[in-house]
Amino acid sequence: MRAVCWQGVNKLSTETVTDPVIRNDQDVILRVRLSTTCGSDLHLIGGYIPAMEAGDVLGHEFLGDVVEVGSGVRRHKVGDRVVVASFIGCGRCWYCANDLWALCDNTNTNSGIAAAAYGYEPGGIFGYSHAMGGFRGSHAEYIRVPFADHGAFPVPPEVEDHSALFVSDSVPTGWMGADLGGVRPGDVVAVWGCGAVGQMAARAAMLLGAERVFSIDRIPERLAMTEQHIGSEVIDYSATDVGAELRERTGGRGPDVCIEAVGMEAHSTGPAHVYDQVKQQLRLQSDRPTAVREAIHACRKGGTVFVLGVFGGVVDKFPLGAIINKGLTIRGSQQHGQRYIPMLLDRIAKKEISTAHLMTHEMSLEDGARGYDLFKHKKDGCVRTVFNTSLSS
Amino acid sequence: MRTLRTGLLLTAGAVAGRVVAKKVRARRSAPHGDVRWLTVTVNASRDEVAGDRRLSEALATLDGAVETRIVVAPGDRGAEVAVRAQDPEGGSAPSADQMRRVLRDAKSLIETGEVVRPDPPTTGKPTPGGALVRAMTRRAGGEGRL
Repeated sequence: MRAVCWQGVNKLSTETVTDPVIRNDQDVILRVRLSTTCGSDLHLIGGYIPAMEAGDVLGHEFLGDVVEVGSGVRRHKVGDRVVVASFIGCGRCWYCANDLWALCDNTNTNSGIAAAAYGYEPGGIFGYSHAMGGFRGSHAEYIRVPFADHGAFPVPPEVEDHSALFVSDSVPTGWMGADLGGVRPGDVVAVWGCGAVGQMAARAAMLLGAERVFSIDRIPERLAMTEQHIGSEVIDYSATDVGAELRERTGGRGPDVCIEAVGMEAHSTGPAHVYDQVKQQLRLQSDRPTAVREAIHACRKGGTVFVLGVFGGVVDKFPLGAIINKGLTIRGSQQHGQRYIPMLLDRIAKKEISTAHLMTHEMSLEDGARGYDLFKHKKDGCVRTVFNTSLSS
Repeated sequence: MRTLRTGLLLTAGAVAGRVVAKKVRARRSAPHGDVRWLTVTVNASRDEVAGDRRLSEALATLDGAVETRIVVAPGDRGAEVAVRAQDPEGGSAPSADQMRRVLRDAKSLIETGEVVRPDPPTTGKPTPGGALVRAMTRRAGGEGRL
């Protein structure tokens, strides 16, 4: 089969690789229909998560059709159209049983690597390095899905592919930021980042009852898209002081909940960006936490900051003093998709959430490297490149 | 000058070595010199875990005798399974790496009925980075914080 493979730092190619096979009784094999790029892939491509091997298949946000079923699978049959949570959960360890699916005890096959970095290992994820289990990614014609009864969800007939695709990761991740960030009716919420996850976090905050939601970015196309499809108020951080803007618009209090949806390669216009870039390039810190710092400073006293962006290691100049002295709650997580996916598919079917607009570019697997180039550099208004396996280049 | 620098480097190396060795010893031994237990928590009742033949079968694969302890975990979190080598200095004591793998596999089997396997590599193309990743993954299943 054809697949988009990592070949080295900033090197991608589309290759012929062996087809996946059932390796555990609870696996299914899916014929992938659509698979989308994600900002967190850029950390792998750029070598910031050094547990990739040449030939590893990328991609973790996808949907497709079941073509083969393991003997232990009970909820799926050949022909089912399913969307799959990007984190793999066994469904029966204490973490899965408590809806903390990204922390599954039984799906990271290389537990020692992540345990060395974080103290304990998170669960496995598709196409996200050997530190996260060594599972092949979804930018391929076929993919093996372990524990499919718990991670694959039938798509209702009224939800078309291009909308359901993003329920694999972006939509539940965004929802989780607002939900676990504790957004309540009447709250004011600020979301850093107008990529797919940031847009979905803003929409989730609105659906959970927030009275005002601000979305912060600098890319004109993304700000316009957020305004049009999500309905939040937008702030262009390259044109204003975000802290002052938020104080002015919130009666001087600051937002009740701040959601960071940017991650380890954050950009900003101030000197902090230069400082972070230099330290990251010299490997004196692994991640650039610019948006997290800003969210912590902007948040109201006693408020909550939820870190949704993916971070891999350590950061510098972290404002711990602000957390203590302002009485903030800081939370973060990878996505517990299984907890939300059925509810989100239902909301998409009812048109409460729109997602199809996130796919700004659609192309074949053969265009893997070009698709990531557009996505990484935000060329041509790219928000998400989607690989469609039924297209030829 | 060169002798002084070499001496300083050797001293720094020796100090670092002692610190690392002390940390490794502390990780392996409890405060009173006992060998530390390696433990996992299984999301099942104590009786279910104790009576599950998959645990006893897994422990029987170890290269040497172990002591086993199964207790109820606090807060309705299931059962804590702990093992340690019966004769840690003896020639037939299982390694910590082997005990961790057995505990993890037994936990997964009891909870889910299987031990999930990673996908095989897509390529046999040898690269230095790939060799390093493969070396890490060979060891990774037996490492960690049990």
